[in-house]
Amino acid sequence: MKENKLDDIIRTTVNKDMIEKPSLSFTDSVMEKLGVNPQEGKLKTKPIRIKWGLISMIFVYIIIVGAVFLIPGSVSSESFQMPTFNLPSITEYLDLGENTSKILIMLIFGGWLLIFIDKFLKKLFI
Amino acid sequence: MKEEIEEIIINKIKNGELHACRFIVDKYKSYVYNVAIKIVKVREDAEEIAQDSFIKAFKSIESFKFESKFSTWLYRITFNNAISHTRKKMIFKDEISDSIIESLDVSIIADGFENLSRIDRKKILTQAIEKLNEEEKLLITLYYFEENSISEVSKITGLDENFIKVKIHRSRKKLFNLLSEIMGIKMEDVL
Repeated sequence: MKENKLDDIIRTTVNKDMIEKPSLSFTDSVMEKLGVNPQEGKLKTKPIRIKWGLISMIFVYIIIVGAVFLIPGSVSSESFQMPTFNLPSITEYLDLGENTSKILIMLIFGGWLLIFIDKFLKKLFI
Repeated sequence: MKEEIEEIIINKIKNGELHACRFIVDKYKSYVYNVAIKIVKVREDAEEIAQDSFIKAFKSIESFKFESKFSTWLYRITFNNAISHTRKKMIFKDEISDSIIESLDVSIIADGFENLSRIDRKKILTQAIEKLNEEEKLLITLYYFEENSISEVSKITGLDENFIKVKIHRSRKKLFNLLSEIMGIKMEDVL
């Protein structure tokens, strides 16, 4: 019983990241010693996780934009009452009409999507 | 990397496709390096020995007949390489009194240990392992970190299975003794 307890605790705690790592050039050095060009046979990984992440982000973006335009009660519907202010609103300053909120939401999420795509492309090609 | 894929890669290497060695090196380099450093203790030497072990393994890969796990065969080469580098035999000795170990209240230490955060547990366990002697470190590494069975550890080190069982049993208890010290539990409190 005691023995199992000791064993369990060690097994549940030990982790691969606890072991010491050789230098970063280790694999290339071995390949060189074998007389193989270190670049040859390098694993060309497909960023599967990132790809699915990108697809999910685009999907979320479409849902948000769709919701902004289509769902009753959203900013574009008649039932939604925009708060009124005595001071001139930002809409008037920008002269974008009643679609300002929709455009702002699209821009915010569009920017977020562009940042994500940029990161995705960097990971894909670097 | 699943074992079937590993077998395909090893067969490719046997057929002279040396670029496939990269997959094997990437998979086992940390483990091979750890076996070496537990014996030679110097990082630069361990790195050299680990690299040479891979070279030796690939050059004699024809002799690997899939009768054991590839990792067991590779660690055996590394172990022998490191031992011949140190030009001495590993002496597995017992340095801890069994009477102290046996009287440890495992559950107190275990409960205290389990209540720590995962990061603290890893930190404390690493510190405790560092305090083991080189032979014990090697066995703990092979058995727990590289998840070899007793029989595989026996094939790697050339030691008798029963001897390894006893050594691992004692190393484990010594580890707990060290854990209790590191966690600040005085031996008197648990005795």
